[in-house]
Amino acid sequence: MKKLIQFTALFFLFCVPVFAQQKEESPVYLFLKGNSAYAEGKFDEAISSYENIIRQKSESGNVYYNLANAYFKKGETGKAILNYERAKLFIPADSDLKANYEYALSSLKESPVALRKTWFAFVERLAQGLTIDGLTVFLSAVYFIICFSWTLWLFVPALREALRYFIAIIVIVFIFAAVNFNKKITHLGKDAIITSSQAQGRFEPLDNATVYFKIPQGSRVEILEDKDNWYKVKRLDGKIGWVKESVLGLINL
Amino acid sequence: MKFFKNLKILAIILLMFLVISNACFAKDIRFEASVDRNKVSLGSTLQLNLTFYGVENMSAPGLPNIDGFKWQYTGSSTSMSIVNGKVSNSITYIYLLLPVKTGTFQLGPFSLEYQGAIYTSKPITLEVVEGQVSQAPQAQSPAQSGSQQFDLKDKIFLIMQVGKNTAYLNETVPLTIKLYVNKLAVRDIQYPQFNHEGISASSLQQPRQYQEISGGLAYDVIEFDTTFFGIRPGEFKVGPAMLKCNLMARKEGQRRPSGMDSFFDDFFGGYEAYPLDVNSSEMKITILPLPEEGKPQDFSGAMGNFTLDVTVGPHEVRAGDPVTLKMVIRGEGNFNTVNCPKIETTDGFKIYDPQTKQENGTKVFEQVIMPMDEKIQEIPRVIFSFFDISSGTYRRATAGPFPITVTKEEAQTQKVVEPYSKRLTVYSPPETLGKDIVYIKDFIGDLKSRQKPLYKNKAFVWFQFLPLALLVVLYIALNRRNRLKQDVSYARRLNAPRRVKKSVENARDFLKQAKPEEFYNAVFKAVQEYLGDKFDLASGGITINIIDEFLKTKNIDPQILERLRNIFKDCDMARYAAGAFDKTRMETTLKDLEELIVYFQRMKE
Repeated sequence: MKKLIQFTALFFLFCVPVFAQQKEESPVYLFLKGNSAYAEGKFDEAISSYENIIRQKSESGNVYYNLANAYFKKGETGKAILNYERAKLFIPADSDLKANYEYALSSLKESPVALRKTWFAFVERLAQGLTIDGLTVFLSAVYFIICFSWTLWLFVPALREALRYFIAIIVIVFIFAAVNFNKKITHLGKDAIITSSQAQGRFEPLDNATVYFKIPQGSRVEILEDKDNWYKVKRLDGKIGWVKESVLGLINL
Repeated sequence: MKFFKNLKILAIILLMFLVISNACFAKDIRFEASVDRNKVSLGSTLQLNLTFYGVENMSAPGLPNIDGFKWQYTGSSTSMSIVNGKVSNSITYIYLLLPVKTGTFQLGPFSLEYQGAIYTSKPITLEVVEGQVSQAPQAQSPAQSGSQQFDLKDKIFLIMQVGKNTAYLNETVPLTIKLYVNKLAVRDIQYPQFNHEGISASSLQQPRQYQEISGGLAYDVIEFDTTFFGIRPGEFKVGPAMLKCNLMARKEGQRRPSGMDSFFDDFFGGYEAYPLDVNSSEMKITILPLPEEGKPQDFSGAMGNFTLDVTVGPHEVRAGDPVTLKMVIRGEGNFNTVNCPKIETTDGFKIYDPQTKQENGTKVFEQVIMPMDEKIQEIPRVIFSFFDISSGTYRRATAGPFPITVTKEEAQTQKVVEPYSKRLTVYSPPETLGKDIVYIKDFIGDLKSRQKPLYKNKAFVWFQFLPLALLVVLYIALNRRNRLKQDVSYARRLNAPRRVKKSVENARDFLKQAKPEEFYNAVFKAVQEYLGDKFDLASGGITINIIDEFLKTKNIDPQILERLRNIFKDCDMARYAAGAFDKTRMETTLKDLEELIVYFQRMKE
């Protein structure tokens, strides 16, 4: 009995701290800790907790959403927009996210450079509620349906009349989805958000190079290449210049 | 002889020319005036003809005023006559004369200018008498002929009467226009018209008709009644009134034989309509301004003598519920000037525009008011001020206050009364919404470790080829199946290896059993079937001759053909001398057969 007590004591002595360590490090624990800090108005602590989750290479739409909220409350609207954009990769159809993202954009002193509206915006809207993986599955499903319909068309001549229109429609759906998919994956890893209010596009990747343009905080840019601590970026209106690495954040980590 | 005959014709032509030229140039212009009779009764018409002889066309001449008559142009007639070769034209202008008084009158002489010359007619003497004019000459009594004179104005005249000659501003004054007619037939009587500058007159009411004796004469009277009121102070003229009618004048000159007169006169136009304007004399009226002294503040111009009667209902309401005030004003006066009575104070009430209804001698106002506070205990006094014309002073009629019980407002009842649009504007001010971000999420959500997206997953990508591959395979299979159905030679060629394999196995069995005759029969059958299927030939007809007749053209190796020839020869020999073929030879034959089949299988078509 004495031995048993000793063993139990040893177990708690060694194991409990191990469990405690695990609990402190777990993403769920960090998330709840961040939420508590946020509720108390300690936004720096909240940001730290949420970013620790991401450093562990774990991520979710809600983590990025809460992190964006914390940045917004702290007054760093650029970083808030960046994290809302990251959250959109996971929970693009979330209504709270949409509302906060739009509110954050509207609260900027200087409006971000916007893309001119084209006919393609309509097609983009069709798939804006889907993540890349969701769109991939959707495309695959449509592709399978096309193959199956085609097989039916070959082997059941009686169904051909009806299948003709069905296949035509579903092929059009496939094309739209494929165009969207292509656009999303083309920009994946290339798009970034300007997080600083002092961002300037320069002609060369040098501190003393001539400033070509200013980029308002919250603007989306496309990264074309990088050199040392500089990124060559293209604004949505097509203007290209060099910006410092510190003024932007990549949407897709 | 012929010459004289021609001379006679020439003389006739000349004579006719003279006659015609005489007719053309002998223009003897005369002007005559005539009447259809010289004696006419008052109220009858007579016809005046002005005839121009020797005139073909001219405009109708106007007549001067003729003492004792009214005249009216009725038309013209033209005539042409040839008397003793003399052609004469004439044009007659016809006028209808209506005598307006009795006595003896002279018509004309009438003078007329035509083409620079003045033509004058002879005067005509006419006698107008009261009563019927007999056809036969009759001695008249002195009283009828001379002493008493009758006038049309005594037989038909118009009188205008006003209630008073001095009236206050907006005071209603009665106006009567009477048409008096004595023993005359009058039709198509129109409503009289009269000048009324400075006053406002109502439209005339439906006329009354009655008889009245005036100056010993019985008159048919048509009375038109209306009222008027002065719209500004001053002296104004009312009238003269003018009435248009048609006087049915008797045509006395066209009497028929006795007994039939009255009948035909009544039904076949014994009377002729003569348009007549009857005028009255004008009246003067003075419009006095209202006195400023004692004028109440709430006076709104009501003129007359009125009473006010007010009823209120319901007496118990919730705040915001409607209460109806029915205000009845009765009396005499100008109701056009009567406006809605005033409520003494409207504090705590919401007042709506009144509904007005006016009848003879009564004007009713229904006003909805809404007590907005439960502290209200009464509806204040209702006051109506007017100017009493009879006393010449301002008077005030009051009613109330009316006690009511107001309970607390309920939202539901308010909704019933308030118009929807008004409620929106009054009770729904634009709401200012706050703006901020939505709160953080309580749950971590679908937590994922960072990994490659699905489209970069190799298994997933390879999986995508599966349906496509399946589709291709199925497509090929379908095509093959269709070809097997439709292309017999292809089907035979395709099935040849399978079928020959069976025959070769059969031959091998006979080899093992050392039955040379059966073995070579099986080999022969296998060659026949295979070559037949391979080259789409009738299998039964294939013999050694096929080598020279068909296979040599197929670009086949000669050694193969030679080996095939040997197989055919061995098969033929085995039928007759089977004992000469041992197992080794049979094995050689089977091996040759198998190699031949392999060769033919590899051979391109």
